[in-house]
Amino acid sequence: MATHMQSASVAVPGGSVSSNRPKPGFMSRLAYHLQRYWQLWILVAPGLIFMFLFAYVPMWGIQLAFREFEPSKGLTGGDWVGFKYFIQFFQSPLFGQIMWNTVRISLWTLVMGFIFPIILALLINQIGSKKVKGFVQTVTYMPHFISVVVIVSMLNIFLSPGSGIIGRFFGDTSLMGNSGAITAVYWISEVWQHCGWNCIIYLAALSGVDTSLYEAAKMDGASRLQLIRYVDLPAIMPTCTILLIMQMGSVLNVGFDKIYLMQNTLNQTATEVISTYTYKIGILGGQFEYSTAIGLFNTVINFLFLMIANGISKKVNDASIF
Amino acid sequence: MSNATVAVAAKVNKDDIPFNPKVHYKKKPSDWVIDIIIWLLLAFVVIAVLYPLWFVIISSFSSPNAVASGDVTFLPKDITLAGYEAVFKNDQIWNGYLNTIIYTVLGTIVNLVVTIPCAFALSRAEFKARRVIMFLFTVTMFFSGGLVPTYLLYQQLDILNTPLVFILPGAISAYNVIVARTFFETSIPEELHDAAQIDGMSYFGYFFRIVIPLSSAIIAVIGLYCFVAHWNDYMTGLIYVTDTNKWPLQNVLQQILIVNASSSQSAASASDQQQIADQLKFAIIIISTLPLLVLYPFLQKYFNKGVMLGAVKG
Amino acid sequence: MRHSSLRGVKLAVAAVAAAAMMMPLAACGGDDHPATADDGKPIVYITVRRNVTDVHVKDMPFTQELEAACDCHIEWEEITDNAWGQQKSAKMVAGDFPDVGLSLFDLNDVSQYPDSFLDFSEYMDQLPNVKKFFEDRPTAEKMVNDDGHYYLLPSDRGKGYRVSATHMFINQTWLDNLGLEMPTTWDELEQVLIAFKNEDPNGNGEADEIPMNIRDLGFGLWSPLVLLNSTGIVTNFMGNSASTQGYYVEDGEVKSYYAADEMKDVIAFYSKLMSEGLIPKDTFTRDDSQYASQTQNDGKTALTGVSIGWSSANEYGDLVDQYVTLPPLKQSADMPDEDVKWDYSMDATEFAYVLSVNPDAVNMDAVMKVINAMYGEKLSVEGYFGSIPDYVSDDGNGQYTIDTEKAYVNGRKDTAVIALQDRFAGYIPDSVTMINDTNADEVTASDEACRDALANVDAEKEVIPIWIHPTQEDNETLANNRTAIDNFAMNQLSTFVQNGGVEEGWDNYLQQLTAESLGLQENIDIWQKYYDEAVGQ
Repeated sequence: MATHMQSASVAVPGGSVSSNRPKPGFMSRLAYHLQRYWQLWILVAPGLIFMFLFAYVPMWGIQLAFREFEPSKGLTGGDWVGFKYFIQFFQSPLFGQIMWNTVRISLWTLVMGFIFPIILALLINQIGSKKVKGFVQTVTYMPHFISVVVIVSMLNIFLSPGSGIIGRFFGDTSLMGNSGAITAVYWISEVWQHCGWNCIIYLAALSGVDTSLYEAAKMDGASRLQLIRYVDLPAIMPTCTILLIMQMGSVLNVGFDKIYLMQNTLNQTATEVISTYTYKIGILGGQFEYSTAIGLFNTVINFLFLMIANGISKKVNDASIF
Repeated sequence: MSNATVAVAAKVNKDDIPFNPKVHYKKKPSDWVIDIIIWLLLAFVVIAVLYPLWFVIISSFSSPNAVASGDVTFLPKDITLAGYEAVFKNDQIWNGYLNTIIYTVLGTIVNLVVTIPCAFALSRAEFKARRVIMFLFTVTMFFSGGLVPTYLLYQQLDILNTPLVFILPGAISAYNVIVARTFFETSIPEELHDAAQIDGMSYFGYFFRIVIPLSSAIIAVIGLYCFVAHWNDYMTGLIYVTDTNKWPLQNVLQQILIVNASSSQSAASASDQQQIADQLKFAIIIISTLPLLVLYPFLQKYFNKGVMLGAVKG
Repeated sequence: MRHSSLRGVKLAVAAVAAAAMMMPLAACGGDDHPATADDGKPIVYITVRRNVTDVHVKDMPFTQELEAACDCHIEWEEITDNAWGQQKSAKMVAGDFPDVGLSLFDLNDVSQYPDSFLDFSEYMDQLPNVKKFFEDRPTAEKMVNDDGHYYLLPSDRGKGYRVSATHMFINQTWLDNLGLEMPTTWDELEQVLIAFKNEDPNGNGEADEIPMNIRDLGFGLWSPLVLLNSTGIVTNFMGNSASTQGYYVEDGEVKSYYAADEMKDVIAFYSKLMSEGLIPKDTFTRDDSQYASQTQNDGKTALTGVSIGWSSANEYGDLVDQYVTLPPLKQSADMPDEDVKWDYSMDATEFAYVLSVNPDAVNMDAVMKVINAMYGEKLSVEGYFGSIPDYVSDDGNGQYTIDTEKAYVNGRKDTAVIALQDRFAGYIPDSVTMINDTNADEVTASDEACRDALANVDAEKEVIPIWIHPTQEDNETLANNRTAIDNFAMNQLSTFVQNGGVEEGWDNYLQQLTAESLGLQENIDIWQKYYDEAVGQ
């Protein structure tokens, strides 16, 4: 809908522009840029300052992944050991299991957690009555605020064999102890909890839809489904794309708290993921450098996925984060 | 002409445009089927969500024993208020509420003041530096120095144990910038900018006088995200604030929970305590989230002020 | 227009410059604790890890007495387990150590940050009370002795806690109702459990009895694996012993519980009980509150026949009168009595690592006075049980009585609210007798029936001492291997219990367990090295 038209020839406040003058030097180009866009720079400046201060300044700690940790010499004063801890992780007997668990659980959660909020947003958008809509939306976003501890105890209670409201239908071993079912338990409860919350952004996008588009489409005899297909979906598409790209960057992320609380000896070969493993290594051995290395490995993979998704999206439908 | 544009945009904003109106529209038979499917799906969703919510509520009033043994299904059983009593007899709770409100309100304002202008500037395609800046922001979503360097930084900045530690470090999040920028790029018609330029308006003028009034939906969403993030922020207090008088509600509640759960290193605590803790888990959710229930009406109000493209396209 | 834009550029430059200047300015801050108070007395900063903060330490008369003893001021900081767990590593790297730390650090921390822990051995002349403590209780001394240096001081909460931390209980009322004898072997236990299941021992007409209730498999407190003691293998499932990591010693040889034939027997026994419906099927999946609801129920009707815990009062709440300790069982009737052992965790129950001092503390003399005072008899009692005379009365001759009305508040049956309780630093000598220490009384009562079996344990030859502490490097190897071993083996064992198949699956399990990549042998070798050193001493 919104076309990105910008023409260099349009007059810009603060100075006239001639499009075909000889290529000036760096300094004069910089001066020209600042003269033209200094207001935009002011608008981004506070964000930039906070970002550098609170995100980039502490990043020196990352080098710990490549160093021996010797506390007496400060956090990063130890000897440089290169990829020692990465190799240690790759050679761990649990490496294969952990990677498979992490990817399996996170992909399920990622894909389902992406699709369901969109469907829910489209459904809620179909409600005509403001009151009903408010009710449905409030109800669906409330679970977002329930703490992980309570979510997991509810899962335990609901799935408890014999007495649980769901568990009574699944034999005498709880689904929580079934390594085959635990992934589904995880992603379904994730979708249940965050679907309503995550659809808010789509509802905001849908609220921006030009109502005259509906009028026009109805005049042309479009059905309900066609309205959704040709008006609503395109309206949220850019948001969907951007969110999907960002989600691709969490392909190796399984939030620690919930999976750790869900873990038990019966399912632990299916629920040991990177975050729980790092925690155990850190707590049991106090091994900073090793857990930093694992974390960095995790991050780099995630970042690569985001870059790839961003690149593809840029080529295919011209939407990208950067 | 350009003055007229601004006027139109402003007027559009003021009018409460009815959302998704179905005026003069006769339903087709196939639409009835669709309607029924939609309503069935919605009913399913609402029930699937409502029941666990209801369960949390009744569990917070029921004896923890009955909850754990699966006796509580639709109505509270062996009603007791022990969990709520344990919370409200703690004199820190109100202080915690107050702190949370202060940190949340100030924090959200700072978030919005920093995020929205930043996202707007980054939405301008002619601003060539934006790609580099967006990349830098994206990197922060992934790479972080970790707890210890962050702690050392806060120590250097002298914000440990101060309210600032709740407000400043999270002032900007890459995620929110990206979401807001996407909105500005796609939902604010570029024609408005052209008109503003012809009008001789600066970026400041365009941003403050035209873009902001048209962006209430995204401001509401980002505001909500930040508000909830501050409201639920538990780790900040836990790691960076040792002065319990400065603790927000979440930390006070967790403290009450821990005190009531067993606390001895050596297994020596009374078991009645564990039972109160079990009930507290549920009561705490009610106490800490109830204030958030009022958020939605605000949100809905802003969602309904859509941007009317047609008004400027004509 | 041109003017305005130029002004804008200047403004922007100024803003950036100002922001850049703010950073170094802000960086000037730091924490500066004054070393002396206004009245010229030194200030000692003490941080204590403590969860219950209804009454702050600074408000306890205990603190005033300490201040009188050291002629100084004490600034207390209290920090919860949870918060400390998050802050600890950052604070240590930042060099943020309090003058005196209570329950903050362990020996691992000492080996990582040797420069941040004071060596007490040079100050023993100023610490006569600690010196006496070490002479009286050599085990305590060994716990902290590092080649003649002491970087931490232990605490001793006295003879009331010289007990095993784990006991097995049985419902005596049910036995009486059904006219059954106390079981002495696994087979007899099984028969009793079957009767519990089928004959409605609680008499409410419903088959709601849970004959036996167990917690998750593991090597920690109250693990069902304490049944290993029936087979003659000793466990020590508390604290940070080799046993809690899965290793034991037999005839001078360190071995793994996982690989023991006796483990197979224990697992097979539990598997049988579960298949017969004598142990709940959701044992490994339910959470703690569900377990508690089964052992304590509504406080009126008992649901559980047998379970494992700390003290019967703690385990069953209001139903405590129905339960007695089940004396350690024999695996089979033909076993000699002296082969039955029990969980040998007395040292870990009685002692703890507590006190550390920052070598950079400014007022070291005052610090030493504080510490010496803490380890005196009276202040030890006050630190653990509450101030005299507010909560505890001094009856003379080393006898003290706790005023339970005042001291046990908020429904607790301990003194955690009004005293430091188990986070205290001090030494309660055997000459002290505590009256009304409910927790100690209860657990001691529960421990009586295990004393014979405990006496069968040869502490020299069958227990890896808790005071063995591997180096940081060895600890890392141990931990890395352990994560992989536990992940595989605990899962296998609980699957055996849940689904059966021990007999057929055991060989395969052993084969995988001892695969070199898991590192089990490497860990055994490490412990063997330390054990040999300890025995050779």
